[in-house]
Amino acid sequence: MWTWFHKLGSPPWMYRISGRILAILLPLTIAMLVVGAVWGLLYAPMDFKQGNSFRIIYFHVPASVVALAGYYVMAIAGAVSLIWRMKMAEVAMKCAAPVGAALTFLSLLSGAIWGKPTWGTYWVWDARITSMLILFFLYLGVIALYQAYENKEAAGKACAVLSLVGMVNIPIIYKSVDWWYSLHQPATIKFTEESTMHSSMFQPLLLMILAFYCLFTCALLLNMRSELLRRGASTSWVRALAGAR
Amino acid sequence: MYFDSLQAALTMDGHGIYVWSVVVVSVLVTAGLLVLPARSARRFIAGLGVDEAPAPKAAPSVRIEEVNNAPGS
Repeated sequence: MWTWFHKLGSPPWMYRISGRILAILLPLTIAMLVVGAVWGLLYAPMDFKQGNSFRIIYFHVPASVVALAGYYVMAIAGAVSLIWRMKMAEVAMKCAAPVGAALTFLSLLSGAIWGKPTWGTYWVWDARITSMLILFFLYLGVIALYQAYENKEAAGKACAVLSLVGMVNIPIIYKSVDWWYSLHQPATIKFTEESTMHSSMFQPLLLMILAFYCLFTCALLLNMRSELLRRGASTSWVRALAGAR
Repeated sequence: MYFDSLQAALTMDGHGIYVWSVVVVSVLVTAGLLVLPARSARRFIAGLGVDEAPAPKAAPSVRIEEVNNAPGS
């Protein structure tokens, strides 16, 4: 039953299986992104309060949701690498950091651009925005910390600890709009209540969120494949791969 | 389509600059996330392939005496 879990630790198996997953998931992700973006940008109705600037939601919310989820992935991978000393988890943790950082950057930038027509300013030191900026620095911190160490085993441990400590920021981001007075609007999607959006606006948003989750998975797998090749440069399976090309 | 014309879709009642700039940044970030690691892996494998390639055969060495003793020298 647990053979699949043990196989996860094998770099050649992971490289092979990730290639098969990407062959299906990558075209599906691109198709979902294109359909979701066209649907949201050109076919969804305009918001009566914010006008057409609300269409930024189709990029801002998916990027933000997946940036937060990506941090969980990174921290859980860090915990697995610390507890079970699983090298593949360390690879996943290291590779999740740049993907999460890119999505947090997109979330911050799209939010700043959206802020101008909505609030009249690109930036305010608001609880939600500031906690998202801290998330961005946490991702950058993990990347920088890994680069700073000569000993990569120690680097992996330090990054795992930093990712776990940084988890404290995630509930703060979620609850910031409830705990503090904020310019940022409350959560659009709630697990316990019905969404405040009309279905004609909500459906493309759900598609874009799903597309961004798939984008994160694809980017993570691509980064992991690259990292596995580098780590296994002297191994027979990588040499065989290079020889076959 | 929600908009009457392409012009209306581009301008979005004055919000087009904000919306389309976010679209451009999103496309760049998405492309970067997908293209950069794939290219890095491809280059790494290509680099290994070059390292693995057999060294070119050395030209056959010719001793000076052989040249001096050659007919007509």
